[in-house]
Amino acid sequence: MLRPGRRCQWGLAVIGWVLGLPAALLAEVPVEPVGKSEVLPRAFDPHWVWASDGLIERLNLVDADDGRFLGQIDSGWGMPGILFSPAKGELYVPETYFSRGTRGERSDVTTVYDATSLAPVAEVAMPPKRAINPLPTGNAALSDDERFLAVFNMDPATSLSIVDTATRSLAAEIPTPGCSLAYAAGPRRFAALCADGALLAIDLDDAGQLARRTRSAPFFDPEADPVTEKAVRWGNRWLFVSFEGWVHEVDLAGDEPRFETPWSLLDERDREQSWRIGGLQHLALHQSSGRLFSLVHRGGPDTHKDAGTEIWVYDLATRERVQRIEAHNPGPSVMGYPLQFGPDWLYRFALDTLMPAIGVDMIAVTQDDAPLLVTGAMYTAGLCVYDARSGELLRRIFTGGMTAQVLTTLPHLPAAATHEAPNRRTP
Amino acid sequence: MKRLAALASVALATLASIALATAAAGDPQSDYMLQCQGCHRADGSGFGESVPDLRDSVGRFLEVPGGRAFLVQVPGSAQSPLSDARLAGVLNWMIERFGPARVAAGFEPYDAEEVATLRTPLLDVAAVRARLLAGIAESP
Amino acid sequence: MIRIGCTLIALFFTAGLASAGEPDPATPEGDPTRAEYWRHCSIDGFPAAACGGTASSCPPGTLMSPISWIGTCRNPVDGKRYILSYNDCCGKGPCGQAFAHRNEGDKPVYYAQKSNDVGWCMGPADAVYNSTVSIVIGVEAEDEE
Repeated sequence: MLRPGRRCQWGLAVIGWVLGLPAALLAEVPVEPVGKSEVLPRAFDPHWVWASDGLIERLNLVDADDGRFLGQIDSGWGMPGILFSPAKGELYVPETYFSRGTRGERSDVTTVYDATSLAPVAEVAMPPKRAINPLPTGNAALSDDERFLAVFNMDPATSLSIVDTATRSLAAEIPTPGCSLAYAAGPRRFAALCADGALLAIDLDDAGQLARRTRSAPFFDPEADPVTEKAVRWGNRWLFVSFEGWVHEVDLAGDEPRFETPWSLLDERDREQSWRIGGLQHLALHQSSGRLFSLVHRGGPDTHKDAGTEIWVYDLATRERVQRIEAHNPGPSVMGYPLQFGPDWLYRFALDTLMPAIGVDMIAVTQDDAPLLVTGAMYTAGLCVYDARSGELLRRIFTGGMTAQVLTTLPHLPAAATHEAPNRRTP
Repeated sequence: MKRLAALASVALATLASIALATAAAGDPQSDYMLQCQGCHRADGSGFGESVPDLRDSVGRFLEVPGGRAFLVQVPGSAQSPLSDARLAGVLNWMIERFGPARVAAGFEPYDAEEVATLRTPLLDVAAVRARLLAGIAESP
Repeated sequence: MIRIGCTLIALFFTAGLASAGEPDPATPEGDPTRAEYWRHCSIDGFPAAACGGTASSCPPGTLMSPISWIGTCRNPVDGKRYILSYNDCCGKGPCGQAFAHRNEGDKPVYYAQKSNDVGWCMGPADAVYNSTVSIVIGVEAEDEE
């Protein structure tokens, strides 16, 4: 291959010389410096998606507008999770390591990453008892002012490790007996769910120490119809959805939590047809429009983790279902390599028409004014990207990992950043 | 023959297991198995620092003021889905099973009514437990 | 078309679909190396039997977690519901075989004694998760609720 190229190069040089042009201008690639690492064009973007890959223990960053792989963060044992601090330009990833890889002495840290360079800049040691489970939310939460990170521990007693991101130190470990997980609910408040269906509000002082713990009365029945851990936030409210599709809205702004009367995502006909909520990450919420996205399938009891075939969209103001979006099959991949076969029309025909709907396990939505709905399935690195308003499938992209389990998008827009371009390829 | 062999091996395995129970509905041992044994272990030995060893110790809480309430109020008891009556049954079973023997020999058993009045989950478990243990250590 | 066929096969192979525990007529109790085995009715992970262990013992070189959650499954042969201890096997990487994604009786993580999502590799078995066993520890009487 080199020799024809060389011949071509000399040929051009001769022609160039004949024409009086310096040969060097026509064919040579300029010399480049060695040692440069790329940085992201900006620290955060509403259309960037972090896809957690539990198989290879890593978070993959992809641009949902064009599928470009932007970078990765490797995260140690346990389902990777990531939290954002736009004010500080930082990312936080709670991590667990064993000294011999799969065994040995355990150490847990929260690693601080620079959001633009994706380089680790600091780590905060934590008690080595971080809960290991595949949840998309609840294992860690960042206070609304981005100061305190709460990491959920289980050994099997439950507690929260409070990391002060300003001093980059462990502020406290707060026991939460009988209650689990952490949901941010203010600058100094986290909420946990208790085994009897109560909610525990944990209030910190400005040093990150425990100021107050209050249990509510049970607001759901954990035996008959428990709420999933995969809650979504809407302003000051958290929405917990039960196995049977009842939405429990909890307002955590005041001194005492306020529990709304539960309302149902499923009407009589839906229940007759056995529609149920399900998935690894089955809820998403678009803040500014107040739209709730719920992944559903048809199945029996105890199918709360089954893949979904449709995404139903609700207007939270009216609590009416306003849209049903068919969950397309993401592109298949094997060992992380996308299987893209044939011309585009055939690829789409095979996935959308030829193949049955296998179902997707995760949904996420971006928070800008031209929001995207992103879906994924555990068996593939492929994602589907939709216009979240119209429900139109825009493109199929790949995470760059081998599988995907959790999808994380920027939960709040930084003050200055808006994504003005409509849903097309970014330049 | 294969079916018989399969049944026989299941039966043998069941017999051989340490904590065999053919558990009737509401049977305290069955309730202990399904609600508690996962962390407290079949022999009550517990786990690490966060799941206490019940052996020769759980009954001692009945001998100090506040101890009866404590056993009902630890989150594992108070928050369990067991009814007041069934929770009383499990607590009585645990005291008889794990002792100490002198307490198991004669104690005022829990009933549904007592459990109902006491049953508020405790938040400050560690502090209350430490105080009670101090009291237990001092008592004869 | 062959590539599409291979894609389809790969997709279904890797999808990890599990049926509801139908008995295999050849061996009525079923095959413990498969996710559909009756005891695995609430495993969200890899059955140890497919990973070098058995339904009630861990693969070689792994440590069984001392604690676990305890559930019940129905044996299709005798129709009884058995009480099962779902301990995790720890210390080697995730087995990756016979992925079982079954959730009978499963409850969320905050209800830990009924949750198959809790990672139980703690204490002396504090290490990475490899697989899960389903150990028979008792039988529920037939008039259980």
